Amino acid sequence: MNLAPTYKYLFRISIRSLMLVYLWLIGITLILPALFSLISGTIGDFSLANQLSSQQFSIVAGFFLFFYFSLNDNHFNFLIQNGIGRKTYWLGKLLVAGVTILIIEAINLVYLYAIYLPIAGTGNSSDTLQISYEGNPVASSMLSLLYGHYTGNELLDYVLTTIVVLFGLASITALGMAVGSIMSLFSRRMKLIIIIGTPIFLIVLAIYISNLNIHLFSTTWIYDFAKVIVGAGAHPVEEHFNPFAPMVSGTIFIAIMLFVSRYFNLKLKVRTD
Amino acid sequence: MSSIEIKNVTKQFGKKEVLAGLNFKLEPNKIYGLLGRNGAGKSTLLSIMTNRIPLTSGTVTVDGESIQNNDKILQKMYLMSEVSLYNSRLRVFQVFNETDKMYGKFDFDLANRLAGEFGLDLNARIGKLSTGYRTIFKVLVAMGVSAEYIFLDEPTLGLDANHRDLFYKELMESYANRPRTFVISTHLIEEVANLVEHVLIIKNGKILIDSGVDETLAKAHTVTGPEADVDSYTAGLNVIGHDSLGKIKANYVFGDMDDKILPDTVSIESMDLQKLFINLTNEGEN
Repeated sequence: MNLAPTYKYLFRISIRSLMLVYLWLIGITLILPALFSLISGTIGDFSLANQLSSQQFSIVAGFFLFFYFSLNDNHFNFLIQNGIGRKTYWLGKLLVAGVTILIIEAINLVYLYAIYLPIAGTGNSSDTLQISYEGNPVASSMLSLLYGHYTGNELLDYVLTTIVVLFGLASITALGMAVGSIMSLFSRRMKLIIIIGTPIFLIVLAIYISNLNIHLFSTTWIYDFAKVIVGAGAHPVEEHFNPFAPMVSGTIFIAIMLFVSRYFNLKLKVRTD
Repeated sequence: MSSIEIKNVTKQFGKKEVLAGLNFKLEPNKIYGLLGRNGAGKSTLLSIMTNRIPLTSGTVTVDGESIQNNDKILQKMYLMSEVSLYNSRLRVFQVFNETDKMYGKFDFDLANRLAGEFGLDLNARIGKLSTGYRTIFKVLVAMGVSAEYIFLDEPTLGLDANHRDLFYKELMESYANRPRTFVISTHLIEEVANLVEHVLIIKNGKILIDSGVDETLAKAHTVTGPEADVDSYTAGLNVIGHDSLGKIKANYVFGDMDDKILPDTVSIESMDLQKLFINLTNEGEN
């Protein structure tokens, strides 16, 4: 198995793509508004603190992980051209995904502690982090609210919440890998139909769900199952969530997604359509 | 060095059978010509042998090991295909570097020298190259790579006569310096006839000929003379085609000649590879 060069190649491309995404993010959220302010003559009102958000890096990272690791064709084509089989490709991709997740979470934490909190955390930012920031800030303020007080031990809660975040990112990545491997089986035309059709289907589904009576929904097994998955107790609004539950459900979900991803990955073929 | 064994390989695209039970062996350090008409299944066969696409049934093995997702074996092969599988944004020198990282021992000296001789800019992006230069780029990677089996699918596509001549010359020189197996799939049979040692002719997804070029041509004869005499002499022989000019006829025979006495009016000449190929693969005959 020629794993080392495969890993190096995939890692290099992954990190380059991630940096490009971050550059775009900085350009859109900081440089562009600053430029507009400069052009419109309102640069005096421009506040760096107001432009920063505690969650923007996490959200973009989530999208990046899903979409980047769903891509297959170019990488597979290059690797099979260079005598690298599907098993090595899949394993290399999995390792790169794991390392990329850790890098992303490290960037999230560095951003939070080194940039966001010193600039906006004590300022007049309207960010939701202000609401959730109670001495236990993690990359995702929502998760901090839900899981950040389970044991009552500040350090332990912090570590557990960070692990939940990592499981969340890993689940998104594994889902992307599974979806991408299935999509690789289709022709370019079919992929286009699926890419256009899926959002339409999801919008219709969202409208349907929003029309459901929420109280009626809360009596179904789906609601109870969802509570088990996320670690919510009998009274989810009043109680803190159990961080070990999403770790268990995340492990099962990731294992299933990776199985699907590997199964279809081994069926990859060079497409000329 | 090991040989590649192809056993009962079939490939179907939907209901269409492109390869119908192929059996042959590729030996080390030989130059093969893989010949066939358009749609005969040459490119499909090369893609299967390099594990780019799955086969429907059969096996491709090296030393008894399947090639399926087997890096150890796949690293012994390199396919230069008509379709480029490289990212079009990569530059030529970057592909040389990447190939070196994957296969190891890339012959940079040879590739860089040939780039100079062909006039290929090493800094050019692959996507910006013309058809001819894209072929040259792919040929250079194939010549420089350290694999033991090099499959060249239409290696002269879009090349002018000068570049084709240079390619053949360099191919032979490279082969002499570092013997390895080349499988050349091409339509320009006349040009490769003197290069290839062994010929594989595919027709309708089946191997029609699998033998040495000399051995094959030794069985290929052109019998020329007056129509009646030629027909009479070749009766019972394997006539694979004919040409006529007025009352003079040429019958193309493939196979052993019998011991009949040759009439004074009839002559027997050898046939070249291209003529043999045309007559063997013409539809509706044979």
